[in-house]
Amino acid sequence: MTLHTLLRLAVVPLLAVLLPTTSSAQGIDVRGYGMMGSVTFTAADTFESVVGSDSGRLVGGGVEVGLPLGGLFIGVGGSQFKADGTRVFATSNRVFPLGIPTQVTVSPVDVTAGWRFRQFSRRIVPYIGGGWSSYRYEETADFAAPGENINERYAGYHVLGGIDLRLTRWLGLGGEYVWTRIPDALGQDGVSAFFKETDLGGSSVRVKLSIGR
Amino acid sequence: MSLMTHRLLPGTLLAAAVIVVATVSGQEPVDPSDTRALITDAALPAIDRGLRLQDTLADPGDSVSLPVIEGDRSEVQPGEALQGSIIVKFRRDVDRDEAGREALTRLGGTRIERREYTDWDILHIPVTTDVEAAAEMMAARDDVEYAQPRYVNHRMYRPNDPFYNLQWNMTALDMERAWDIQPGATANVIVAVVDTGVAHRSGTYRFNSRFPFRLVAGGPVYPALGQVDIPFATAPELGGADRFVAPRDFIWADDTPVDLDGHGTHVAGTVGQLTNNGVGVAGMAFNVKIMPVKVIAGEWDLIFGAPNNGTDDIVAQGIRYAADNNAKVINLSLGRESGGPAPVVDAAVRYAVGRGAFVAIAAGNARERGNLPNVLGNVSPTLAGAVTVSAVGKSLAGAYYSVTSPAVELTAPGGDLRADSTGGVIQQTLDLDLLQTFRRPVAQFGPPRADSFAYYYFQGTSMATPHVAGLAALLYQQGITSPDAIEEAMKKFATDKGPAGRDDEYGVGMINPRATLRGLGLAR
Repeated sequence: MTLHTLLRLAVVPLLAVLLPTTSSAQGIDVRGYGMMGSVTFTAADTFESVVGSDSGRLVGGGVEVGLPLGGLFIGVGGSQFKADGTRVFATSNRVFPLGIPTQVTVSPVDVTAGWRFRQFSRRIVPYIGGGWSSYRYEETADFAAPGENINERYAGYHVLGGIDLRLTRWLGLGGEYVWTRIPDALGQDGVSAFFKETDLGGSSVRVKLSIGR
Repeated sequence: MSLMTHRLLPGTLLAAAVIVVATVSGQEPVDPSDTRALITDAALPAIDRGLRLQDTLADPGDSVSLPVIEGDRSEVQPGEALQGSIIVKFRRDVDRDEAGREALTRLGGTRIERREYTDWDILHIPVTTDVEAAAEMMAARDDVEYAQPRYVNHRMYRPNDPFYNLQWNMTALDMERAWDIQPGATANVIVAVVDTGVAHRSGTYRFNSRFPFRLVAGGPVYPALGQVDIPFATAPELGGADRFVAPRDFIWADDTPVDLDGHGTHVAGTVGQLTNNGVGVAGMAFNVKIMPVKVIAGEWDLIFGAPNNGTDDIVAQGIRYAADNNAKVINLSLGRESGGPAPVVDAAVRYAVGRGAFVAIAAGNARERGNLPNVLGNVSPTLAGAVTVSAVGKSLAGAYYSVTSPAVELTAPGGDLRADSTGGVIQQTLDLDLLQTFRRPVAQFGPPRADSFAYYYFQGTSMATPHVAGLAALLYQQGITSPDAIEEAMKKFATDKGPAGRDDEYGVGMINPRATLRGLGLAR
């Protein structure tokens, strides 16, 4: 993980801690969270052939704002998946690794609106949501000529559901499932075209540690 | 018509002649020890005479003819079949000996010949029997898988006019960036050069030249030289003895496939000429091991009375030998444009691919002689792991001699000296000035030297094919280890030429080594 990413992940929860005292008095709850999870990409064959697996670790963080409208909340979060692999050649029955180092970085930003179901319990709060996703996709490899590496952003959408467990007044632990679709980000070229896989999205399971109300 | 055309066209080559002498006269095949003996491994260092532009070379589009032994007027030319024997492959479930004897009786034959690296038999039949009809009759039998005459093959290149100074072919293929990715493969990859032999070792042969010959029908008779000692040496730019593995000579039936022609050495240079050594020129896969397999007789082999010529069965033996001895790539810059199908070679190519060897085959040079493709290339379109290669010139347009055919799958630089006098493919090979003494007037005719080398620009689909073989070796080293995948990769990344998509001139396009070696990323 780069220093830049670490700073980004640290600042959001810090801000969340500072904000709640003022905002909660007006009925707006603000919390920041750090997140770690596992993502499984829909383009399974594509990721498996290049980076050796269709899934990997996801880290990130974000901020959520509970609005004074029942359980409505909005949030924005960022995360990052990073993997090293090798360029390949694929045939119908075999993938040949070519030993050319390749780095793949997927950096999603998700803007979510959702609803928290607080009526069941104040300590255990389920929620659902959905929204817009923007994925930055970076792929670099050795021996690349100018223009052959990729740094592009693609848009899509996501839906999610999860449960928050309030450990203390200011600290929460949650689990979340997110399904994302980023259509037509892949499949134009590379091994994704061979496998006819076009979706950069996938599903992820995340554990979130939140600070704030 | 060029000088060389005059010289070769009417010519009736010497090569076939010796075989013909044996078969037509009903003699047993010549014992090679009667005519060739290695008298010493010792030899003076090879001579490098640099770039030679003054030696006249033949045109690859010219028809190929062989010298004729004086007193023998049989003219078995490439594409024609040897008389007196046919190739028969009995089915697996048949008792080969019994079926052979029965067939022999039926054909009035004299003996069955079974050689190493074969799964077929050669039936020796009366020389008066029509071999085409005999083969057809045998092929129709239930116990026979295939039968064919013993068509004579030749190398797919005939030397031409000598002028140029750049290795434009490597630039055209963007090899510098390709070598960044895969610097010349390693000695783990063996490339078999199935050809006229390769200048792979040093020594001296004592030949017994017993037959006068004419190079041109009606031309002067060149005398038999009697016992002559011919020095030969490793081509300096191919490296030392450790560069070569499992050499085999199916023309002389021994393990010393010395090149007495120059074709095979030139081809081997394009595959694996030493590179980045401050000398000479570059090769595609400059670290591979080279397996010299001799299946084509040069003029001198025929003049000296080699017991075999480049018939389909000899070519097939060479291919099988290469596959059985762990060659991962087999280069076939040879073939024939006339004669019937070559099931024995087709089967050998399939066998080689089945053993994990990629096979590159020259498409043929007879575009201006009826556009007749190389018969041996017909197997490749239906076989993943073997490709037939056409040639482009320096302008990257199709070379004037390169045939157009449904069998053409890829194209590569083969040179076009008609379009551009500096447009051949340059490599080091035998010094033709000192080798081809039969090109001189009779008074100056004498024994050749095979220990002197020079750089020549050759052209032909023979020259295009080793570019593909070299790339196959690089791909194998890079990790694409099955022949069908190598073919698929080459085709996927080929640069389309001519009409969009596949066409008969360029196939799917010109090989693109850098892109092919770099392969596929996740999204690009």
